[in-house]
Amino acid sequence: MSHDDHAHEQKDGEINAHVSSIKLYIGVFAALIFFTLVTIGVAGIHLGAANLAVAVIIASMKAALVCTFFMHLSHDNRFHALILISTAMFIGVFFAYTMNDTGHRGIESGVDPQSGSRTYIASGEPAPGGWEKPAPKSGGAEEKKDEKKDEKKDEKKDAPKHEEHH
Amino acid sequence: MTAAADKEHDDHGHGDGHGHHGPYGAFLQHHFDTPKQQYDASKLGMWAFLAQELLFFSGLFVAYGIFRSWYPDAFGAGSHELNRTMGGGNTIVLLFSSLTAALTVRANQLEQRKQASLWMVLTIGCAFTFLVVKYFEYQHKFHDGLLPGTYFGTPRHMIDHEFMAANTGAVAGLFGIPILGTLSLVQYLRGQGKTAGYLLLAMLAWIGIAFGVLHTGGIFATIDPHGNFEATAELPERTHVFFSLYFVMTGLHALHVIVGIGIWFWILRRNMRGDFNKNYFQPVDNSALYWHLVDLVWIYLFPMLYLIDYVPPGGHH
Repeated sequence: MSHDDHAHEQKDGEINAHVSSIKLYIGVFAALIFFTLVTIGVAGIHLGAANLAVAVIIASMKAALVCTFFMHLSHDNRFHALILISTAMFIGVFFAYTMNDTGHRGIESGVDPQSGSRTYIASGEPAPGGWEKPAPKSGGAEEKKDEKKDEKKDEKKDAPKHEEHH
Repeated sequence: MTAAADKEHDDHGHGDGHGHHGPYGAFLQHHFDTPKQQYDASKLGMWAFLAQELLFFSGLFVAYGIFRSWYPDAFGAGSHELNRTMGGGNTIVLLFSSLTAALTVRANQLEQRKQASLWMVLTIGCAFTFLVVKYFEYQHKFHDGLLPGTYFGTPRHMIDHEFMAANTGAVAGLFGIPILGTLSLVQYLRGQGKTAGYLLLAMLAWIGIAFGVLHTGGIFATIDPHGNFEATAELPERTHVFFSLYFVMTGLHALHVIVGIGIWFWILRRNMRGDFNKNYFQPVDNSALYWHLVDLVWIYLFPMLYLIDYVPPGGHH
């Protein structure tokens, strides 16, 4: 039964949702598989921070295909698309504001290269909102690692003191 | 029933609103005029729910963004420990199940009942395949001590069972028992003995689930006598943060897959019973929309968790 026949039989008040062809669905599926292979392939190329951006862009393209065709937004009430797009927008706001905070905590201060915690350059102490170094775990291998780190940290702590002397 | 509602139904020629279905059949709820109105209302509600689901998952994605930006090495190393073949295979399985879910809606639109059942069975099959692969992945992580949070790299004898028991008690005691216990009591006092019984059972299930979930890490670590936890010491500091997010994100996603399997079995039963026709397939449509959302979340989870570019200190091995 073609879509036109379907529309012809249409009575008032009956559902007239669009029926997509099987070909279209299989085409969309093939495109999704293609993009999956692309994202796996691209992950092997060293692009630094751009790797995450590329992965998210490809995932978003896949998501757009799923929403448009599998979830019928192409032939649906536009309000459903508006719900989805406004949700995505609010997720963007959530991301932007939260990461603007967490990404800039103690930004004028230094960063301890060992632990990644934000520190004041002058004192070498943890900056507000930064992460404090967790207490060393007990256990053989862990202890060794922590010892090494403590040595390096001591070196770092010495550095700002030298500056003060100058 | 109010007088106004009575009057409205009288206009249709009958006084009994609940027994009368108009020219369409039993599937049309009495508070809707036409199947189209019923379909549109149901779909709008479903999209509102999907929006809520996305916002709910977004909290975890934001947490992922924060921690990945703070500890890029830990995330690279953690991701390197995951099995890309299993993750990629599962991606393809889930994408295929999304195709079959879309095709089952199409078959229902065209009133092809048997084809619809076939697509539903395939969807369920894919969902089970996904979970089986996930099970083997989790088992491998448990074996290597790649556990979330405090359990990361913890030797078996150090699992803090008292801490676990305290948490179990808190989850069950602070929420499950007061909420469901009160509801059960209220229903009992209202003379709804059966409902009260179900609520009491739900309360026991809650306690059981709280106990099960909170002990999973410890139990798996304890029952694996050949676990090799020493390797975790070689990983960068705070790799446990990556595994906390890995288990919470994939675990919550897997929970959605489990719920989806239940939904598809229910829809399959209704389809075989002949509940659906071209004017009533929104249960199938909404289930498929839910299933596509589960797929959508995985589309983002797969590259974010499994495909982080990382070269270990000693080069690739």
